[in-house]
Amino acid sequence: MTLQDPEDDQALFVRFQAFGSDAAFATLYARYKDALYRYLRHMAGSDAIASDVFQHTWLKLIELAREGRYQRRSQASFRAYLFTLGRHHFVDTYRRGHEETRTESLECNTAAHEIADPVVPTPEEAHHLATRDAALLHALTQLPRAQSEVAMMWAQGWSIAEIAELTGAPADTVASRRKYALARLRELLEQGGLTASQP
Amino acid sequence: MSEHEERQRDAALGERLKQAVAEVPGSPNPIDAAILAAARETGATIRSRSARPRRWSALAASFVLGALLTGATLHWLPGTAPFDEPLLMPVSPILRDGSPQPQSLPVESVSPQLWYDYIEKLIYAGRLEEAERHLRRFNELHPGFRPEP
Repeated sequence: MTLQDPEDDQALFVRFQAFGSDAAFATLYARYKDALYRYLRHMAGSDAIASDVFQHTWLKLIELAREGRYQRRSQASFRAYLFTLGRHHFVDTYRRGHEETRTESLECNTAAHEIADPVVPTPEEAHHLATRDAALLHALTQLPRAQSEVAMMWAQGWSIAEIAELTGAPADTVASRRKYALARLRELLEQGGLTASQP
Repeated sequence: MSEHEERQRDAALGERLKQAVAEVPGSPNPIDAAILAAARETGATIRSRSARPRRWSALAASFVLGALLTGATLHWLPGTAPFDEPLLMPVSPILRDGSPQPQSLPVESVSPQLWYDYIEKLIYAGRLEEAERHLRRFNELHPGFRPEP
């Protein structure tokens, strides 16, 4: 990407900051809002907390733009910057001394959702798929928090280096966490009668 | 299990996890509306600021004045050519017709708005010396330019 590429995240944000382009901000927002919310929902285990942190994160970003304080960074991606902002706020506000906040599990919000497979499944297949995904999400919440976070972000296409930047952990540590997380997920799925290799 | 098989197994589980996470609801609509409203309000504030002379534009103007005076002085000295260096800017994403694309063009051949955008980006990228060179030339060639909102 170059400075002139309209699709570049940081160029879009600089455009918002420099010229007040609503369209540039809206593009970025649409690009990351759901992924950020899901990440925070997973970290917090609560819609109320996730909503609060989510709003704070975006409003903080808007404030940075209004004050002209966002600096384009050559190394870090905008995505990593955004998620790190949210993560820091969550940790600073909720997690420090409140380890019990993660009391709900993602399955609460997902068990009723069907999977958007390209082929319409039969009712039996739909039930099986919903069960399988709910079980997988539930298993994710059973992992140690650090492993769970790595597994979730890795599954969403983040590289080990990006996750290392987000979490502040060394890349080797992140790679180990991913390995242990996947192994543990398989175990948990098999305990629940679901194999990890089902298509 | 071979390393290749293990990687395939991990990738399959990662894909399942990705699909499962994608089914989790995203941000609620009322929150979306509130954030986009805040962004619009801030956008309007920034645009109104842009309509006024910018701090760095004023700085650039004084810089240009200084540079012109310095240039006039240096012009008397033998072997100096203060403003002769060619300035280029990358344009490859602009040309999308599939033809061989140049990596950069002389700034005199691109639109003032495009050039202005590029200078802004240089500033925000922290490439200030380069930005100053462009600003100096820009103010020479487009002294009455007003940026688009």
